[in-house]
Amino acid sequence: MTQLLIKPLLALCLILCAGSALLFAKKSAASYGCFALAWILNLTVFALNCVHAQAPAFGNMFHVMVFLPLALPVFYLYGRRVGAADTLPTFAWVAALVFLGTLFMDTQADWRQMPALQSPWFVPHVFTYLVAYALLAVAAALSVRRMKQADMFAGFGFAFLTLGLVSGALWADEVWGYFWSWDIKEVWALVTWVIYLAYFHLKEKTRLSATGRVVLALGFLALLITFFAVNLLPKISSLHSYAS
Amino acid sequence: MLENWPRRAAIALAVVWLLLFFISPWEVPESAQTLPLGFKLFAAIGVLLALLSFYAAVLSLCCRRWTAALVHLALPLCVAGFALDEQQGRRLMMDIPVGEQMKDFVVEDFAVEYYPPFFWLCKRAEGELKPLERAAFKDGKVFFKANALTLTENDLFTQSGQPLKYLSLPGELVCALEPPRERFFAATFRIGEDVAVLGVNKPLKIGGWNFYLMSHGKYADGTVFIRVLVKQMPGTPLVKAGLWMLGLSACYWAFARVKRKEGAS
Repeated sequence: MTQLLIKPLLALCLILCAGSALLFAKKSAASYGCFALAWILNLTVFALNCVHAQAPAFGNMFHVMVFLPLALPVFYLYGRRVGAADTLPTFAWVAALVFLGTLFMDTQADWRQMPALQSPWFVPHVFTYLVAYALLAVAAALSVRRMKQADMFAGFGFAFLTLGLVSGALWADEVWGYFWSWDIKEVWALVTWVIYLAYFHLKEKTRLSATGRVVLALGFLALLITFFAVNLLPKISSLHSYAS
Repeated sequence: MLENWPRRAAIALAVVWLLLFFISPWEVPESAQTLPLGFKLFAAIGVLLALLSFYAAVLSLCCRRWTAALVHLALPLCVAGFALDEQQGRRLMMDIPVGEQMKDFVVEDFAVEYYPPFFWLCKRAEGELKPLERAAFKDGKVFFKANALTLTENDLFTQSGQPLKYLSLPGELVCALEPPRERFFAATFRIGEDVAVLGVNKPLKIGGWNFYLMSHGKYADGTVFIRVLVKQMPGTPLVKAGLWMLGLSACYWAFARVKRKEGAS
């Protein structure tokens, strides 16, 4: 029964996020309410997924796509706290895009974890990567008009990306006795990390200029390939195929 | 020009590194697997990693902030650990039959735990089964809601409790059992008087060697065996220290730079 509620709830989240962005343009205070309500509904869907899977719901692509927008309001509030400009529409549109993606996914996708995933490393590894993806998506969206804020979120995103990479290596050593196995997903994760590494080695002035925008866009493109292409393209054999 | 050299060098190295990833084959060829640790194929990348780590080490000396120095020092530490492992490390994959006495130990028992069975409602079409819907279980009944069909567990399980593989239903429908999926597997080792469990995600240390449970199988005569990776790697603590240093100092760096910018503005 609860499974039947999931798609309508996600559709409502999408409408609320899009509504929030549109209302913000009309300077209506209701935009904040819509964004908050979408977050509560999103949290409900995540909780339903956890109950259904009887484990933290990170077991398949649908589960992680539901978790991604949950992190966004937290970053939005942090951005406001450190005195950055109000960029609610950017956060709302990024969330809406992710909700739109979830509507085309199978809610019944398999969530039974293979033995290697039964590890205390599982949640920290997936969690840090998802937070990094959400932060870097926001950074990519903000880089169009607000490079300074994009730079701040990219910094946090890069830190979480590093944590994800490190936790993955430590976990792999515990399961297979190898820190690194040149799996296609691992290589693309490293490519993404190296591009963002290059971004932070640019001079501050260059980073905030058009060159910085281009490197951030390249990094986000590599991130999309790591996240989607490797998992969803057929005929790609990967140690991470269970995530598709 | 000179004052920009660290950044220029970093970008140049990153670009060369990226190019190398793109032209490297994804699979390690069989010929390379026979070489020590199978890492020789990536010797070129190893050289670049060494260069990058040397560069990072130099850069860490120039860093004005200790967090930045730590982030940069983590890379040479990891690479030093990997190099030590490659030179001094020993690693082998072995199949151990369950119940057979080895030199120092015997695998007494091996157990596999499975998830509860998944039943699918399928339709026969052109000699194949097309899955329509996965069953839901409740109160001893099996529901296929979308197809308005309910079966009892008695229909799908034998008297001994084994699930049926296929159950033909009217209208070219078939209720099929998905192959069982493993939840966990573990082997019990007896080393002298001591007993220890080796599981996936639960490596075991015996006589200075680390044991990792990789998979399992059956010989033609029906004897169960476990496939185990056995390794002795002196560089692993260095690699782990480098990885922890990298992860934690990167987090601190991200927060510290925001604080710094807040203070400056």
